[in-house]
Amino acid sequence: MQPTPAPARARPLLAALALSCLATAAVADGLDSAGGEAAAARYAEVLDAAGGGFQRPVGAAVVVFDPAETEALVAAGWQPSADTRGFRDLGERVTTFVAIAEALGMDPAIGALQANWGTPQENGIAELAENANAARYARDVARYDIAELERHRADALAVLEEMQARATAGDPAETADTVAALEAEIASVDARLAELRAQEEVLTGELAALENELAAAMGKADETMPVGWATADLDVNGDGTVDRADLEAALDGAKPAEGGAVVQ
Amino acid sequence: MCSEPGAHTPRPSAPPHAAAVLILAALAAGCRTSAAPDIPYDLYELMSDSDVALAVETMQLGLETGSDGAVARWSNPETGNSGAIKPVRTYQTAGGYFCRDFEELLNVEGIVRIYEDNHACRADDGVWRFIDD
Repeated sequence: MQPTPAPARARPLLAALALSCLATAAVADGLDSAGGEAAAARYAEVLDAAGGGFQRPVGAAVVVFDPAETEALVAAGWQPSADTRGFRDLGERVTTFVAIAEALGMDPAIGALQANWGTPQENGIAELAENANAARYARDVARYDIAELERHRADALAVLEEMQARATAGDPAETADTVAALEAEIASVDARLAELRAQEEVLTGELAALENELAAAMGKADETMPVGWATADLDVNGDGTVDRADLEAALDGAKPAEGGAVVQ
Repeated sequence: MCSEPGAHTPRPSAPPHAAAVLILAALAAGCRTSAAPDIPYDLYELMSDSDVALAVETMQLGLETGSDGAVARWSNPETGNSGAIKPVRTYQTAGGYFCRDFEELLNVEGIVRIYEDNHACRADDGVWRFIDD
């Protein structure tokens, strides 16, 4: 059937009408839904002429992108800034990450998102979290030592007061050595306490700085990832990278060292 | 709305009169429906090779560079036919492929029809190809 060309002056009108129809369709759904198959068949001649195709199963949808994420993908030419070293291409990286997430009982979308926009290890989040955890541990140890020393000091002080009371009541010479020893010990404890308190103050400051840095890194990651997904740990074998070895470990039942999250 | 009324499944939550208003508005705007029995359901069969080439090119451009909701259009001066595609949803599959659902509007021989349920994925060669549900 030979198409009948529309008069030239009618074309803009047709285009406008067509677009107004499309806008209308955006409001009311339920229009023709069998077009895909027909279009695929009709367009296949052109599309297939380009060769290529899908080198692996397409699979089901694992993550739906919001408009901002879609914009980022379009801007990146559908090549997110993921490091694909160790993988044939981004697709293989995504497939592997999705499989790891599934093997760990996580939402497979976590795997897809991290494959596209980086793991906590690649984004520096894991290292910051590790440093923060180390600083937190050191601060907690310092606080524990302070508490222990304060208790020891209180005990020593009680004994000292008892000795001083005895000295007042009885023979001062008899208790003088003990009192002197206790006073020396308390002085030593006070010195150590001062040292630990200064250390605890430094560690608290360091921890606060690291936590701020970590929050900033997570916030940066969350600009392209849903909140929280940036921190999920897919590095099952703990070697600092996420790859097929992690998938094999996950399939063997292994879990990441810190229960699936690098941030405590 | 320019589609065959019989093929229209109204959104359950939409008041019946709203759909009627939309149809009337589309008709008032000059959209021809395919209610007449002699109008083919599949406009793709009526497209010329040059229409298809333009539609495919527009589909590639629209899916590759368009945001969700952005309309990419084509118009063929040789035939007077035109069309447009609009990505509506973007996702990634377990196979690592980026895919998009999109609507396609065709205006072929003065018949306007909208095909809603299209899916395409970006293949390894960077070409967007149709996939089944």
